Amino acid sequence: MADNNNHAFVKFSEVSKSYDGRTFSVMDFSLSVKRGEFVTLLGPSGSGKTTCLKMLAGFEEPSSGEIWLNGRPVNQVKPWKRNIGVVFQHYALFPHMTIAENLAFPLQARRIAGNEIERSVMRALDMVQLQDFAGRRPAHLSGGQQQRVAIARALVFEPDLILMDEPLGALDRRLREEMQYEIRNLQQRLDVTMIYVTHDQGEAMVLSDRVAVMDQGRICQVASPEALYEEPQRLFVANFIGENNQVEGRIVEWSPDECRVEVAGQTVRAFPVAVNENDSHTCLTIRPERVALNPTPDLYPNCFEAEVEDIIFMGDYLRIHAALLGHSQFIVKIPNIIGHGGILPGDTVTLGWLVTDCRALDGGRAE
Amino acid sequence: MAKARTGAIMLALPLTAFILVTFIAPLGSMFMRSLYDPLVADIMPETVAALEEWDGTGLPPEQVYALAARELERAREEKTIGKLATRLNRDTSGLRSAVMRTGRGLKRAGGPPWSETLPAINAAWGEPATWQALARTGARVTPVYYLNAVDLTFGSDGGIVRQPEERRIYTALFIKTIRVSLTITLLCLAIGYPVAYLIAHSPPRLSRLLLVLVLVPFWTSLLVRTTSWIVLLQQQGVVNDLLVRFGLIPDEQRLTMIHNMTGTLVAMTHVLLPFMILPLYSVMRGIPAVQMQAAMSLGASWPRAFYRVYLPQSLPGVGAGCLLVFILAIGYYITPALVGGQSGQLISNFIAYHIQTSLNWGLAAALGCVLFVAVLLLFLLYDRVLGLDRMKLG
Repeated sequence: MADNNNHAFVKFSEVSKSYDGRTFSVMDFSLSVKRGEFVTLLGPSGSGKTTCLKMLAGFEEPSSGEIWLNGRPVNQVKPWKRNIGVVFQHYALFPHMTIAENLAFPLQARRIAGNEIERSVMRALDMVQLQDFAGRRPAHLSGGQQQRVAIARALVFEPDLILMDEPLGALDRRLREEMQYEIRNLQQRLDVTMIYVTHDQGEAMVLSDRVAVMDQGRICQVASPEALYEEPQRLFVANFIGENNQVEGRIVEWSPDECRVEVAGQTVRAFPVAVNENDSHTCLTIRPERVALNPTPDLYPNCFEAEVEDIIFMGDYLRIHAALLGHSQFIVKIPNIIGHGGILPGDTVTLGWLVTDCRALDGGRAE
Repeated sequence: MAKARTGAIMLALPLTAFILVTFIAPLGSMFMRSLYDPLVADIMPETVAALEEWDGTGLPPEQVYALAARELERAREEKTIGKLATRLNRDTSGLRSAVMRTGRGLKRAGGPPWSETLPAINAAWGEPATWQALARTGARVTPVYYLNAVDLTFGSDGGIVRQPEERRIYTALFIKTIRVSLTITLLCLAIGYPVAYLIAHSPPRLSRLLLVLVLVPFWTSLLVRTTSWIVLLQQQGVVNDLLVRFGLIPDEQRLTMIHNMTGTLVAMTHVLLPFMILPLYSVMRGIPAVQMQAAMSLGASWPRAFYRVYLPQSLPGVGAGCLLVFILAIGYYITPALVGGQSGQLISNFIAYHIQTSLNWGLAAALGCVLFVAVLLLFLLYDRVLGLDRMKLG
């Protein structure tokens, strides 16, 4: 019944968590995850993402709301009865056991026969390419190897769901990227449901089917990585995912398709996302790579004169800092192709962008 | 390089000197005392020397009597005869009064033949046992204190025999001391482990408060803590009053919980508890909470997770705490002395008795050395079985 694919496999419904009854680590958190889906909770530290994970794993109990797992409410279910594999930030391998004993632990807890355990352990070690390390202690493995053991241990008992709490946080950059693809591959090969917590937006983009951006205990937006980048609904999301220029202004004319915003005495045409007629204050966001340098005016409704402050050569692109509309440090990214040499700091240029690339968002005010 | 090392040695010099003066020297001196006893040989050198020629059977010749009389007379004049009497009495009871009387009698006594005069003053000089005692105690280096410490002594024929029944106390006392120390160690572990767990894994504020609660008694005077147990546990004390008030025991059958073994156990467990909790706490604090969470997420119930994951990681603390408490308990003195009554006395109380009251320092030193060696052996055993390098004190 609940194995039905349309059915939410994991469901948070209006879950809140408060440790002291006054401040909330998680507030009205609702999220559905389908079977086989890879969902990432992304947010800065203190945004409540780890608390959500702990509640799902059963280490914390929600103050209110209900968590459903496979069609069953699990608020009262003990952690060891949930059949969820958890990978912790610092691996949490058992230091007094060998790698093989670590992997056998969940199987022994399930009273599986000895020879069956041995086979499963070897298979799991095989999966993460650590067959030769079965007899070693965790302390004798590198960080990346320990991480792979932790993942193998979370998979070895074939759980319904895997939770990962910043599993790559302690690894160096190169290893982290390598592990990202490994995790993604494993998840797709085993077709397991995964909920992943990170504060690294790049990681979230690479891995996830969907990303839930969290801020101060609330979900800001849940969407695919593309949608988050292209169509952020909130200023927080627009700034947290990728780079964005942010220009503050006052709405002078509003319609559902387009609004005119007064910025430093000039009028900018923008796409209204999170503003309505009654709002007078808004933040416009424009991606640096969507700004055209010296464009043809009739293609770009927004064209403004800007003074180049700085040019940084980045290899495949040029990064230009300019002053316009009363804002300095307005960022423009220009592909490094023929015809864009010759610009010097102090030059006056024209910068232009489309109405749809200029999103009028909330003024950044708290609700 | 060489200069730096010289500097380091110079810096360590005050500590080395301190340890030498306050630790090595007294220990060495006590060890000497347990084997080396020149008192009799110093007071009666010629008699002792002459007795070495004697075959030990029957009575010694007149010449020895004469030397003894002369040296006893001199000892009386130099006022060392009291020490001599005490020392001889320790070997053979009854000799104290014999020697003291002889000292007083020699003034009025006639002259030779001394082999008749001395026994006339005190009949003890007519006994071969007296002369044998003099010969035995005349040896400067003697194993007799070690023999006494394990309830053995020299028989009249010079062989090693067991002490008479009523004087065999030390072997039993050693065994009792070890048994009591083990009991206290186990009690401390049973009480201390959950407390340490609570302190190590509570929210920071509660944890700090609990730690202070453990440390405040630790900083309080030992005497205050021990005597408060008397207030609590005595016959008219708080605990008995409460038990009677709630009708759990009748008024005329109040429990005796102090000035006996119960008192020693209760008070010493309390006094030594911090020494168990602190090493346990310091080890437990190093075990991350995610270890238990990981074990539970992998399907182990709380008890199983605790037994398989937490307990093994806390063992270094258990080892350190137990060793610390046991070693402290085995040499503990003040608490049993105050609340132990008759039955709650341990070996250290008898060592103190021999140092302070009976002034038998040789025996006290021998008992101390036996205790020291016993603890050392236990220490080595612990190292062999569990490994000292795995122990963590914090």
